[in-house]
Amino acid sequence: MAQTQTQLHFRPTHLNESLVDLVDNGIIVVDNDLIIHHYNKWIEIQTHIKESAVIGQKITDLFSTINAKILKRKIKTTLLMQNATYYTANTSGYLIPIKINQIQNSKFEYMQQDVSIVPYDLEHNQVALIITDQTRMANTQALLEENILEVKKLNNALLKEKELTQKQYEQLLESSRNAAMGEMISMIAHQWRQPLSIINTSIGTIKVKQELNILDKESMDTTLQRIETTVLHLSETINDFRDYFKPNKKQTLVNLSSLLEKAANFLQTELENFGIQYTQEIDTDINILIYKNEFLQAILNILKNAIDAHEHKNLTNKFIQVSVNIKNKKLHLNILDNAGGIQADVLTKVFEPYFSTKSKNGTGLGLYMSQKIIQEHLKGSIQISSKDNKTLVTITLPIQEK
Amino acid sequence: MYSLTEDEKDVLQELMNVAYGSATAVVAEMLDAFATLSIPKIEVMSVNELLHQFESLKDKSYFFATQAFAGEFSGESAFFIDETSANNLAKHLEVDSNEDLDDAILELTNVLTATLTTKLAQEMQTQVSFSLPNISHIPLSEIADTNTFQNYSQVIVIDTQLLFEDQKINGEIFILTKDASIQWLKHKLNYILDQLI
Repeated sequence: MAQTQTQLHFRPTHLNESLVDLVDNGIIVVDNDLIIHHYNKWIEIQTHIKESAVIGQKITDLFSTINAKILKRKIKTTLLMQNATYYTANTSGYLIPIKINQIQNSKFEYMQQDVSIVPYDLEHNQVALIITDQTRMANTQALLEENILEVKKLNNALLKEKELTQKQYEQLLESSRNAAMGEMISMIAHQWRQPLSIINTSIGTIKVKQELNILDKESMDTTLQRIETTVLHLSETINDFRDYFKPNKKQTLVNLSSLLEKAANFLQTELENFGIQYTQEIDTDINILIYKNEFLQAILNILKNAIDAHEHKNLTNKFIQVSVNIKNKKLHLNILDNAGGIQADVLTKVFEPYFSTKSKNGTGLGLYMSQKIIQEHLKGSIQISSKDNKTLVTITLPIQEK
Repeated sequence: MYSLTEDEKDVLQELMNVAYGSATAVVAEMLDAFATLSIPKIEVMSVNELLHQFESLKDKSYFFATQAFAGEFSGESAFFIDETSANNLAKHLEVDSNEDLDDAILELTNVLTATLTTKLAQEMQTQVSFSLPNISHIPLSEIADTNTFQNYSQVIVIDTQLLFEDQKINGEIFILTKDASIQWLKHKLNYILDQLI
């Protein structure tokens, strides 16, 4: 067939052996008895062995580290299926031991090699071992694996840490419950002081009248009646507190105004003792679906802080004002006091656990727990700001009106 | 979405039967034992479905090797061999180190992939070239996270069981190919179909 002009000029070049010496790979031709038939320049240089010295020798005599059985199996398979078989650097490391003197990042003493065993001369059962230097890749891989191991270690440490934090949180919760209990007892004590003194006085009066023999039935009845009413009041106080300090399992529809009144009621004695004027401006129609007692506990913590801040202040118009506004389907409950405000450096820490400015009575858990309750149970948020000797706490809650 | 018609599936099945015949011979020769390969099941599925299929293998501990092949017909093979089988393979080949066992599993993967796909390619008048096989020691439960499989949206799965009854070795190989290769394959299969009529 006539060839075109182009084909004449661009005949496929017949590649000679010198090209084999130019490539950056080791090429060794062996037969199925492992006898070497070719040994290219690259491998000569790498092993410091001349081709003339190895032709006709068994490759396993030259390199005793080679497992003859495995290599023979691979050569047999290559010839049989007329397709390549392999050694991979990842799995086998290397076939031909070549010492390396790499300075940087060297994890390996010997060059890591991928080796392809390709059919070369089927008639003479010869294959070519084509060796590729994969040391750099293997180094990267080894570094990566080390790093992965490190990351896994760190991750485990982190998980343990998390577990520990969870435990600490539970302990904290326990302490805060105890603290709340303490608060409750102290509030009950405050509320009981007056009724107890009424009872005491009444009994005293009866005793005196009896001594003087002027105890008539009417004054006896009146006094007993008064004592009975007062005892009933004491018992109601206990029930009230008990009801409100049990955590709720279910959300209930609560009238916000009544709830705040209840809170103020619990603190009535202290408000009066320190001369604090409590006012609330809350629309009596606002009902919210909420974990009632948890919310009350959060509110009480905040009100208690305001009262405590007022305790030693010498002001004439001490006040705590509670108001509500609704914006963008969110309810904002504002609690404002004029007990002197909070310094900026303190303001950033008030939600941290165990942070307290109260010298000995503070557990440092009040606002921390209030924040936890509001964020985690009620899915809301709490902000605190201070300006002109006033402190404003704002609780924002999503509205689920019913 | 790519799918194969019943006729296309039939032709592919026929071609695979020829291919796995020669694969059986080579594997038997390599291991010097009597091997049987099950008749390949051919399915087109999404990667998610494939990973779901791998799920069923999870209750045993497996070695998992892959090998990519390139050309007009390109894709990847995935070979699974359970731990017991791998240990039996080690015993049979008298290899004593973990590295040599890994190497033997890779060789098995390579032999299966190369013979199956080379033969299949030959039948379709094309050639394929192979990358080095790669063995994974990742737990099978993490396979779904490996990137290898995320690249394949739609795959042709050729699923074959390898069994050496006497040596109690069995493994499963999946030949996976996708998008452009599926299109090419459909074209080729139809060409062969036309020749048959």
